[in-house]
Amino acid sequence: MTQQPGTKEKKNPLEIIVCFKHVIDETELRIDRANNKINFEGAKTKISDDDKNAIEEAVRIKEKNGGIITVVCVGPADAKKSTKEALAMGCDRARLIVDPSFQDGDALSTAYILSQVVKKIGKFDLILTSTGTTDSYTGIVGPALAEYLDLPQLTYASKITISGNKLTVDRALDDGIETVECEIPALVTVSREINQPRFPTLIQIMSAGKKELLEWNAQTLGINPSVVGKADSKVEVKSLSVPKSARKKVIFEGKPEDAAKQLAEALLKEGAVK
Amino acid sequence: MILASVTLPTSFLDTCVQTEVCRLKYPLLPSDTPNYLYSLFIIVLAIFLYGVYRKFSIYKIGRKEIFRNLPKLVKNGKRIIVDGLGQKKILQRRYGGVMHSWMFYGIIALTIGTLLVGIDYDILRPEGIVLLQGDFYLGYKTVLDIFGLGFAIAVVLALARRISFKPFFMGEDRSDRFLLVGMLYMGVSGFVQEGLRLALIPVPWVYFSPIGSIFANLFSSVGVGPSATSFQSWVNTYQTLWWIHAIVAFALIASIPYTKYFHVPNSIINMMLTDEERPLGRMSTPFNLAEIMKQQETNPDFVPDLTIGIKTSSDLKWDQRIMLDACTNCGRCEAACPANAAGRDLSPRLVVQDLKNRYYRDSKMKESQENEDLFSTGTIRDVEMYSCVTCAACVYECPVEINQVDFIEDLRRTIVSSNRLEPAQNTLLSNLASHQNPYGFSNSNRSNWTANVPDGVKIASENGGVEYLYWVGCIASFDQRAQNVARSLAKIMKHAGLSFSILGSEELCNGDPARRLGEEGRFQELALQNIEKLNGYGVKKIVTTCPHCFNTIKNEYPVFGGKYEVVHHTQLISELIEKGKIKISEGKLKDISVTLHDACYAVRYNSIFEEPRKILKNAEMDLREMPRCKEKTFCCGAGGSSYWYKIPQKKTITSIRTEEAAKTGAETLATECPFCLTMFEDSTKVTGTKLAVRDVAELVADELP
Amino acid sequence: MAGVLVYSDSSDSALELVTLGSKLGREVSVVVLGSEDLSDQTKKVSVNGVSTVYQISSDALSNLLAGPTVDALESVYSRVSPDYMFFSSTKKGKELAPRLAARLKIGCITDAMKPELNENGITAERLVLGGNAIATVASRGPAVATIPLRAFERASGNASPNVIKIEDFQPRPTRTIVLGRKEKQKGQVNIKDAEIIVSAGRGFKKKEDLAILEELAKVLNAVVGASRPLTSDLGWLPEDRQVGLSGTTVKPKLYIAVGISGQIQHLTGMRESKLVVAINTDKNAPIFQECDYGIVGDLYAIIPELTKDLKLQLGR
Repeated sequence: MTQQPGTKEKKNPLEIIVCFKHVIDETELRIDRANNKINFEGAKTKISDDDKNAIEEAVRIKEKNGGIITVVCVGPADAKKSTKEALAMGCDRARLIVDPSFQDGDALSTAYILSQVVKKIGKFDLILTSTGTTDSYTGIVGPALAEYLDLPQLTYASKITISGNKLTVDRALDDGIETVECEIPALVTVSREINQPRFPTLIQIMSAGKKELLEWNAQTLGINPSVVGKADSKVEVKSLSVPKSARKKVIFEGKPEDAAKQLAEALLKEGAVK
Repeated sequence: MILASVTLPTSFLDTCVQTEVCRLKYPLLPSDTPNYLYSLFIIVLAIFLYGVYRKFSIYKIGRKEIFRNLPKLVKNGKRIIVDGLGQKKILQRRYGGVMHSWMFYGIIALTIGTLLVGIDYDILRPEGIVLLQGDFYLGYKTVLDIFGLGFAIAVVLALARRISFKPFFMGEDRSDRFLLVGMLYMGVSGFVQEGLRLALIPVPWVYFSPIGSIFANLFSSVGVGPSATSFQSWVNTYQTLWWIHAIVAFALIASIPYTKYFHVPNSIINMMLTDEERPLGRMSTPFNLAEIMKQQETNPDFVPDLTIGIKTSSDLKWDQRIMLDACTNCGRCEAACPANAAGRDLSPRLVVQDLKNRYYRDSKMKESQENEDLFSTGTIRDVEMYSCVTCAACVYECPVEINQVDFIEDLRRTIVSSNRLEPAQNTLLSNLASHQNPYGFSNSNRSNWTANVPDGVKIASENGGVEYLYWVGCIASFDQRAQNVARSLAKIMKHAGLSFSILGSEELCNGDPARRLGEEGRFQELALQNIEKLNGYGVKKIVTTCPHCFNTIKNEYPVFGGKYEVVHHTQLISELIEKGKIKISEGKLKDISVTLHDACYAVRYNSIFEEPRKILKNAEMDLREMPRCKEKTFCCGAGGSSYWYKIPQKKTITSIRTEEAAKTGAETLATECPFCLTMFEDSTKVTGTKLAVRDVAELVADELP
Repeated sequence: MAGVLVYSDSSDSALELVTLGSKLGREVSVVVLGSEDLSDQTKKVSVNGVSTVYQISSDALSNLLAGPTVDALESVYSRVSPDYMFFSSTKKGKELAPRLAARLKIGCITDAMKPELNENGITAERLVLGGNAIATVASRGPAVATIPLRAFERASGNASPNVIKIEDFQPRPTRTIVLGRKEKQKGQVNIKDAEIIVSAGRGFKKKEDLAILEELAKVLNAVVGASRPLTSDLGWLPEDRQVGLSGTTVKPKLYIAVGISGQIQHLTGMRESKLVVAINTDKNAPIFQECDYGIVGDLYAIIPELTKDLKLQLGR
């Protein structure tokens, strides 16, 4: 077990589990608007943006409180690249969960698999996830995982403090900040404003191999393939289509007062102002 | 007794004075003087040698390194002669240059003079040979007097500057004024003694010592002379002065390895160690990514064990220590630094001084103690490092050949490895990692600029056998303003009938922003991919419109297996004009006033300055140079990846330069770098400066049908 | 035929969900939760289309924390056994729906656009891959869904639905407590997280002229941003307001670029905005290629008009 310098070694170091998703880089997709198609061939992949905030926060908590971070990813085999990146950011060990039967499941199914991973890991004090992933942004995994593990869920965290057994979280809600407190273990979903993730260097990522990275599958986890993945999904994706244009490009011309009026109406209709 | 009464050997005196022009042996001094003098010298030598030994142990230089590098003394001999002996860089500034070189040549002349005296007195005369006699002696006297005068005036100039009009950029060491006063004493007392001696032992050739004779006349006018009753007491005075002069000289010699004087050997070593194979535009290469990847391919568990950058003073290698210790705190770097002028938190002088002081302080620590982090101790600050635009103005100015930018770039690597970057810098790196360009756009849009080019532009993947590959670069590919530079060059090349292609969507960022920011791995990743493509297409000649791409491909890529003939577009255009392939004279540009901003990476890193001027002159434009032009150019503020992030400053580098350009009264500001172009265009718009900012290629393209 | 159950932490948005339920032709029941007397809330949701209002009042629900709220919703759900349950896509709604779905072992669709019923379940569209694609998703059987705000009109009319108070609500024990709450301060400037940004560019001639933009920002509860020249070069606004590659990368719901031509520097920093509006005199300005709505014209004439219209429409 590699212990990062600067962490205080205590009798019971804080055990943090952080989950991330290995996703398609939506900003590099080749989109064929004319044929209403997205070309996924050779699509680039990445750690979901918001998940990086969760990983970063785990590392910051460790830097402050000491502890051990286990990073977990349920995904395809090539998620190893992203897993190494997460280790390079400062996580201590990784569990990469790969199984064909886990593919194409809905978010609830992923949350269920994660709950079994957490149970296999055993001891933990804090689970961190993002609020949503950049590919589908369902926001389901965090709260559902909390449910499966019967943990308190502290969502939309913009600040996390741990002192002893006490966990204090500032939640960035629609109308303001709510400060809540509970005892660990708990699950926290972080919001993007919580931090600015560090960007590991390529060499750091390439050197992450010295940390423990275990690959687990349905068998290791003792999961019956028929209760997960596509087989058990309660929501499925029927089709993908491409929006007509990235931007609408509706231009109002004419007298300033008329154009302004038309714009105001359009904005109200879009629900963009309230 | 050191001081003693002397009886002059009348016969010798007579012959010497009247018949033979020669220098008396230890005149007016007792015969045992050399015994004391040389004993004292041995002590001085011991102190000196101990100091040198101490220096070398602080530098952590081993005997092996000394011998291994001696051949470089010959290899870099020209540089040592031109820059060192020739004082080339010193003379780049007038006041300091004249002052220093007179001091330098003065000391050399006076030292040689003194050595000749020693050789004459104590080596040759016992053998019956008198060196200092006849015409040679007369010439010797005159030359030494002139150099002595120059030396003394130079020291006065130095003292005056330090005391009453010290420039803002100059640093001050505690010993500086003592050393100057010591040298002033040497200069003045030398003449006083000479005058006194000439008054006590008059000689007919007194006027061959022009300055000494003035003092001799002064002494004579107050009654000092060989026959005066006060003769003996004046002899005593002479002896006292002589000994003080000798002791001050010895003290100065002994102080060399303990004071600023050591810049002399250090700067010579710096010049000697210069790696002629490594161009200024090439950064150091801390590891080879291709090798690590190969290792990981065969052994997935292979983990590279690397120390990158400079984290503590122990990471400073012996040659870097010598380089830092050569610094005299003169501040020429600071005076030239655009970042410093903009009020950013950076002085290259202080970076060097702080690093040097840190390793000196750390050298006092016990072996077992670990040196503290340069950053956590505040020796070096992140913002200081990223204030640098890597323009190399400091490197160009530095008289002792310190490469400040090299240190800064190495220190940036430490910051990146500690993952302490600012959000905008992280965005840059993540864009480079996931999109292979700094903007984060899809590379499939790279050839959008060719849409308006009549007949389009060939893509390398579809067209073999072309002469040139035009490396467009990210900014000219994506930035709407800069795209016009690409279109202009395409037009010029087509007009001249050159065959060329572009990589199109296969072109990736050359990696320079990553490397200059301190992310070596991403740089090499991009470089390797680009080189694979270029080599795959069998590219031989590359033309670029961006000096940063130019520098990287020309100077950095060869290390990684990419060897091409690379030309900057100003070089290519100039050549096309010379060969008569394009004609721009007697056109619309005639008599239009223009000033040219030399791009740092073109002029300072790659010495390109003639070609763009040739083009403007060929177009018969009215070229009005800015005070800071050619190698002395300022900066547009975008270099060293600065284009991509913000740094606290009082005033932008861009606006300082725009003002300077406007002051020439020119209508057009010509650029040769798309970054400079966009920076200045923004700045002129904002400040309402009436300057049309145009790339040289745009000016030329407009002249073509 | 079982109906739909709706819940929202705001009564106004609950009314939008009622409209959706009615549109789908289902009987709509509304849940109201709180720690005090719920008659006001109940009255608010007693509109046409609502058949029953379920009330749970409990101390445990004083802050509507996820744990007890899900417990309460579960107890209503098990009583009603609806086919579908709708939440608003508020932050609270989106943290409740997944947990309830996980507990009930039914499907969950968040941010469901154009929700429709089919024989097996609910079908909806979702924006995925950063808005690059629309996924059509369908539940197999009953499901919960969260519905974007303002997707439907608020239901209205005075009606007298059944009101059922659930008295035997027993939340699971929880140790989560609320220590405090800080309302969002108006005018607090944090451009990175701002939902609406109005940005100024070189189209403004003087620093003082920015006042008209600030007026518009006030009406929209927006943050004022700027392009690089205004912050770095002119210093009209602090550097932390700079939107762009070398400044802050923003992704607001609405981005209004005023007098900004759209240099790549700037576009890169705001291209992930949900809706982009551009106002500029130059109709060839690149920003018009990157906008949803645009006005070609003089910002000095347009901005005051726009401010006036929006002020009127939004009742501010």
